[in-house]
Amino acid sequence: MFKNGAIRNVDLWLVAIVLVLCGVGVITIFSTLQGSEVFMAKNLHLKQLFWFGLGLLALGLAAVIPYKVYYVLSPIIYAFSILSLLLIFVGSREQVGANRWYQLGSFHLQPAEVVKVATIFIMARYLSSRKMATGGIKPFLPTLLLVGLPIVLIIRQPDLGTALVFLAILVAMLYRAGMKLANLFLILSPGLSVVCAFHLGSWMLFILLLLLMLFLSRPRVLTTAAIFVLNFAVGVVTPILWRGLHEYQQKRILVFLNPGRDPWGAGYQVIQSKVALGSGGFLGKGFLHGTQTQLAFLPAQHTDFVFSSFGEQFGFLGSLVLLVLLLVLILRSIKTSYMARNKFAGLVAMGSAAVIFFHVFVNVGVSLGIMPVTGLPLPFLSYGGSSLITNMILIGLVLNIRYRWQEY
Amino acid sequence: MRSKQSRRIILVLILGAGIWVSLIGRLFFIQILHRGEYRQRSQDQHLCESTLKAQRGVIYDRDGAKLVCNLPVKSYYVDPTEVKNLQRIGANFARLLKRSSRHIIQSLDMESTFVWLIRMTEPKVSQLIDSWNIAGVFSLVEMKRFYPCRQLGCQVIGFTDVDNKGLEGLELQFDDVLRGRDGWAVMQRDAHGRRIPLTEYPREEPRDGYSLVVTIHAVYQTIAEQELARGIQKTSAKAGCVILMDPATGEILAMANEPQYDPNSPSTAHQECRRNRAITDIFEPGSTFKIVAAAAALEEGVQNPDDLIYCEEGSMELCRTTINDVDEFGWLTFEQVIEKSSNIGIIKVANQVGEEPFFDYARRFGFGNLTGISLPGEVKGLLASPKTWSRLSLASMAMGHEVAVTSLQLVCAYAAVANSGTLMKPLIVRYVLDTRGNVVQEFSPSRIRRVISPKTAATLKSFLVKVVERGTGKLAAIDGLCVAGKTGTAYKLREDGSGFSRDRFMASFCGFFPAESPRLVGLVVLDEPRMPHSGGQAATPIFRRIAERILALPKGPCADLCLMVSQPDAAEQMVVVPDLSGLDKPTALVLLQKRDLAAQPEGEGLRVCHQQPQAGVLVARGETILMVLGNLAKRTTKDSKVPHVIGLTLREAIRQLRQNGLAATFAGSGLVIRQTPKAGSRVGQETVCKLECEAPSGGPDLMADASSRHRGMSEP
Repeated sequence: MFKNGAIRNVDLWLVAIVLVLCGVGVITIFSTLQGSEVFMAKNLHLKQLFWFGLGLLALGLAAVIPYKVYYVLSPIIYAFSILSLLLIFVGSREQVGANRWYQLGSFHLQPAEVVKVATIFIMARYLSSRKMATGGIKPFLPTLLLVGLPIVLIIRQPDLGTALVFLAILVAMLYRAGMKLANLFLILSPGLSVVCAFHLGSWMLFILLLLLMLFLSRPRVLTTAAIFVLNFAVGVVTPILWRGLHEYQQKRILVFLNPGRDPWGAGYQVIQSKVALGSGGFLGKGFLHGTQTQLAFLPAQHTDFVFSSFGEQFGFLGSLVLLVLLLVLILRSIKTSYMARNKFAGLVAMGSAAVIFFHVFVNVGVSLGIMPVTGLPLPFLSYGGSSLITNMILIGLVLNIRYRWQEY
Repeated sequence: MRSKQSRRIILVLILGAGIWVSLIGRLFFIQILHRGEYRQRSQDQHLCESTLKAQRGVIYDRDGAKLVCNLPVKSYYVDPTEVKNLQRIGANFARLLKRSSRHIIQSLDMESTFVWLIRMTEPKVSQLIDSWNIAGVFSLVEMKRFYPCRQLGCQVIGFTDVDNKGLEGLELQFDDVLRGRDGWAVMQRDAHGRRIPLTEYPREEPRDGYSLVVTIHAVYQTIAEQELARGIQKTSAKAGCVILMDPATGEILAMANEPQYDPNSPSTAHQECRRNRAITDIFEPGSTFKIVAAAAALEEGVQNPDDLIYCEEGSMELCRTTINDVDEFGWLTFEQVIEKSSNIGIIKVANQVGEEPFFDYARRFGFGNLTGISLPGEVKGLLASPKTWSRLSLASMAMGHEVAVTSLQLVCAYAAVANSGTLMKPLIVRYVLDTRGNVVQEFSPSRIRRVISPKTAATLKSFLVKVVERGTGKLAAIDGLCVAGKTGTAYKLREDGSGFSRDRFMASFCGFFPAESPRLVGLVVLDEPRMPHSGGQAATPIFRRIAERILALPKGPCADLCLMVSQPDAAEQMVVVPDLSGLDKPTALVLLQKRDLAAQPEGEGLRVCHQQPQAGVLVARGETILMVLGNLAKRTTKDSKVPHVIGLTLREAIRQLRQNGLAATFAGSGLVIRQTPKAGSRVGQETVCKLECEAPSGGPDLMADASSRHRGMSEP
């Protein structure tokens, strides 16, 4: 398998970190089950162990197959994954106000996870196969379509958090492809316009900034006009769309701004998360001694708030180690991305790093009460097969690229 | 190109590191800087001080029968945060709570996690609710105060509210004693509100409430209540009251008030029924009060029993008021004045005593003062001091008007006469017991004062015996027993205060027996009896019936008083209630059926744990026996061997039968000549043996003496 002692081309650090993270995940999930007879009976930690095994298999597979194969197959993979997203509206189960799963026997398959990988591939292929003029905007516009399609479909599920992951993929990969920061700003400006549209003053400020950027970077007249009109239109339409949002989505965003306004609803989760973390203190309450976890005060403790449960039991020290491990994992992926001589490979590694980065940032941010409750899992730790396997595939890809970094 | 590339890499690293630093900074803020605050919030959430409920004490009658106990029952509450279907709760509980579904849903405070739905449900209801299995509805076990004898002694025992706080009667008076002291413990609580006790935290164990042993005898109480109710029905009276007391000790053996209520559901009871009339209601006693003047006159020596008094042929003018007697009496001896209850005669006696001494004696008998009984709500009554009297006052008071007394005061005064002139403090609670049954506090009989000399008391007693033998109280006479007593019939004051009503009376009889050494004082008061209305006609028969039934009992404080009344006809109609406790339901039913008794089973369980009336009570055939089923250990019934009693005196025969747990009825008097069932046969406990007696040919004995006594008239 390893040609002429190329073992040093295998990122063993990455492998070790992933194994540690998965192990911590299973242990934490086990601890969270003590508070609930229902989950205990389901033996979720053993299931997660099973997913872990399956994930290792996927990791190995993703790592072994030469990435050129992905390059060739990427359009087909993308087409199938988009199709699966479309089909979910037909045959999936309705649960917690969200259409997110395919049910295969007793397992729920989330097609959105597969789409992440497919989108990374297709984006990498597009961005690497062209001679990209680093100064312009126009050649990048088709990528908006490639990313926009899954975003639209996933928002309709509705799953705002996962949809935002694709934005992260877009930004990271465009940046990796060499786009200028000013152009990146312009291309993302409609998104920023949406955020600013809720407050008239800040939206005005944003429009002024936009005009300044347009003036400085001076794209073609037609492009300038298009960007400006788009920003303006979005800013006007957004408040109208806001009223069309699901109430729980509105509530989540509003409660994020002020968790105190709903202590028993979405804000309750954030408050409980902070209480769990805070009461853990420096060294934590010890494994299986987390009162907030074991007495079931902490909501969604084996999925979205697994970090809080871990933090309660292992304290600041444990959380710090965990965060550092995750950071090392991400930085090594980025390092791989820039090491790779093949542009497609470098872009894939960057996309993978972006997905994991965004998940960690948002999930931990939610647990710490500095992000809206988006329902994104913590990579490798949160319970869930689809998410774990996808993350393992991404790491597999990074290992793959790292192993073949010298190839062009 | 190369430097540009590395600048872009550095930018990414800075961004990543920056975000991580902010995350770790926030983590530091929460987990290190604010850990105390969050630890406190965590403890507030998962630690709670939980009250450990002390169990309320029980109330026993003097023989140890439970008059009130605690039953574990289920209460239901809603945790609105766990509710899935509000409409279902509303719809299901609407009928149960007799409220509209919408109303119930509105009453649920969605902010809290604990809202009572229904408390202390009966087993049937809780089974129904459990079968619904509604999400968000939870149950917990509470101790419900349960009065197994229902209305028995309800005004004396009282009742509690839903939180087991005493509201009336002994439950109120001894609330502190009965309640005990709640303990506390630190409990761990999970998000669903379930509580787990923690051993590493301090806790204080609850101290269960103490129990009371009252002086009430449940069987006497039953008899008093039954006979009072019957008398009230017969005379169409509005209300009534009976007190039975041991004159030597002041122990109240029964205190019955009519109308009654069921303390198991006090909220449905009318306010009128809850009052313990015997101590809270005052009335003008009428002729029963005449003993005050008589006692004063005898003690002061102003009158001798044989002194003649002219009774003005039944009508006398006094301060422009005409005083009438029921009959046109001429010259009567002092004794006859009391015997025939002459108003004019007693006024003349009182005049000889004088105002001050008369008032003094009334006070000494305890009128116008609290008796000091341990029951809530006692009143003093009205006894004006001579300074405020009119010229007619002494005359009025001698007849028992212009004074207002409670039934308890009256019975205490008669008890003083019966007790050779010594007034005893009425006792209702005998012992306070801790949970192990050790005596914590004892209430001993206490002497208040000597009211009159034993000699005067004896003379007065002989007056009262004559009342029953020949006078107004003839209906109280019991064959074979010397009964003393006095009747009273008082016009009630009009409600508007304009003098006396002509057709509304308070009828009373107060008496005791046996006159030689009184064992029981009894008072019967009827409020507004219609037909008949006089004390002698309405109240006296009730007294006699109570006395007869008590004397027929094989057990109780007066059991050693030998029954000397032959009443074969009555005995045919009466049966002894068997002891059902511990028997299973079918056996109990068969046992009752054999004795022509109907059964009313209540509650869920295998065995009988309470019954009403209690074992050993004589009841009429066809009477319904309430039996409360519960889970008790099986009882083994003992058979008794009938002893040989032929040839013994009746007294001795009954004593021997009782020793073997058998009751007896008999005909004739003297020595036993026949007994059924035969000696040596094995019969169930409480079996009634029939004895036939004949006067012996030999010298006189107690029986002969008894049989020679005046026979009482039968009831009209």
